[in-house]
Amino acid sequence: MKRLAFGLFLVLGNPGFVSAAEAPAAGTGETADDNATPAEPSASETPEAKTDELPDLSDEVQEAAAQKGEAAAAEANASRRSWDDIVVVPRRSFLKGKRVELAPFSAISINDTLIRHYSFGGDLTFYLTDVFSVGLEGQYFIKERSERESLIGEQFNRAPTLNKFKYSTSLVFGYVPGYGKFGLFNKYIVHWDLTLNAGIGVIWTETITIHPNVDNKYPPFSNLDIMPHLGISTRMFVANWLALSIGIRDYIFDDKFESLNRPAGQSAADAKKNGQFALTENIMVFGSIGFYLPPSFQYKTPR
Amino acid sequence: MLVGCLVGIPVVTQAAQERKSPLADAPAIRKRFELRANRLEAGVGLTQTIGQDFYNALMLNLRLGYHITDWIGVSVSAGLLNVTPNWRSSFNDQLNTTLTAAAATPDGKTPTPANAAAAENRIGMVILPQVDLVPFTGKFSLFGKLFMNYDFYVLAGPALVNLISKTPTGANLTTECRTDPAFGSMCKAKPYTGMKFGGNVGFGMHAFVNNYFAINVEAHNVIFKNNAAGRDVNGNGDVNSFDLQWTYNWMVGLNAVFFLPAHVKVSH
Repeated sequence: MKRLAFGLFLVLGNPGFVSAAEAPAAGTGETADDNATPAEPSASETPEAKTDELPDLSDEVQEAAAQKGEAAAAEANASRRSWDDIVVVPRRSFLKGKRVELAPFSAISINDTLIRHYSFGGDLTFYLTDVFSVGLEGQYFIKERSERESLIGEQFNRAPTLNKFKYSTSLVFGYVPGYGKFGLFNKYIVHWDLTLNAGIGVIWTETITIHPNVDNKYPPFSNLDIMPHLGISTRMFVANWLALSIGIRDYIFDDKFESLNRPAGQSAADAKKNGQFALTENIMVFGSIGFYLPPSFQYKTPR
Repeated sequence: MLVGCLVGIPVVTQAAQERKSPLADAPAIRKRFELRANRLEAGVGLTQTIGQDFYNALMLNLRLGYHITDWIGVSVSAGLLNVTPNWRSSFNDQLNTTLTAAAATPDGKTPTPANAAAAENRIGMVILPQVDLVPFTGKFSLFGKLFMNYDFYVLAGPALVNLISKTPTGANLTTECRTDPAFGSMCKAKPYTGMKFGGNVGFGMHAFVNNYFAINVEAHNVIFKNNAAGRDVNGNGDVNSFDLQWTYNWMVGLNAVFFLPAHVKVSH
């Protein structure tokens, strides 16, 4: 009896078994339970309780005892499925504080009937804390005249005054007021946050002349405008070093347009002097991929 | 004893290797309120066009739907009444200013503001039958106080759009018509009106205030052929079906919706 009990003690106290049982759970990692907490396994199901039910010792039953040990081990494994790893309120899956985000993006303007701008650029952001950030934004624009713009001359015998955007850069401050998660087909949990941005920078623009610039009779002129902006975006965390983001930014600046009465042969400088200011609003929808450095992070508080 | 140890150790090691989280095969959210499954949805609100060339529309909106499961449903979103038929876009305002200035010295090529307005159409009504697919559901807190369930969905379906004009008969446009010996009457301006058929894609969300009342936001891209200016596009001197172009018309709606029955099923 003593030998069998000692043997079973060794089996149950096997270092490999113990270490595995105490290892962090793999797999889903977290579950949100809206209305209930998981039940604790009952004490009667623990392997220690099973040892009290062993039959008397004999040589013939050693093998049977070993099988019993196998069954007890399997049951122990099943009953000790690390419920301790499940917490009522899981931690945030992603920390940004003291990390740098490099986010290349692409954007499209949505509010101008006559001209559309696509932009390519990047955000370089340093997170002072998990909710406050400061960064630099730079973008290069590509213009596209709309169908409506091309029809104005045909349909109304008019020609619009337009400026194209060339490039811009801004200092951007960010604040994260909201953080949440959602279930995807009730299979995956995706964490996200909501970011508000405000910034100030400059934008370079250039006139699209009303008359074609044949023989340099209507040379275009450029502007450098101060450009504040506001923005809102949401970010979904894909990995410890990767996030996907979409958002809207509203840029406002006072831009100078070509005069309707510009005479042929007027220099760009004179045309700019006689140009007309107009407040311009440029609303752009962004999509970006954020890469974080360092690529991993450590929690500073216990679970 | 030795046999017991030798037999037991590999078994235990294998068991340890096969060990997995108790949540590995579990749903992401247990005991979830299925706020849509087998429920009717009905509500009213407002929907507005965005970025129209000439006239934007703010419409009284009706939304009716039935959710077959928690993640798929069918619905109709209908902007039934345009309450702002004369809401000109900023582009139209600027165009009208230049046309007014040009009208002082008529050149025969530039339409008067009245002629331009008579040919332009606007959206009078939109009916959008659609399938709603709900892949995202979750919960958020507002200022850490107000907790709401929410969902995001994508939608697609056909579209019926009723286009109207300021003067349905085009009576003001006779000065822009002429008689061609070969082709008969030809008009440089003619409003394109009537019920048109197209497509509709978009996305939306519900924010549930409680189990049966929600705020609904929807964005639609309504795609149909149009000639919003009602003027010649291809340069043949006449306005006809060859001047129609595919247009993408964004609309955003805000609705207050009720879900019935009020009782909610809770998942396992």
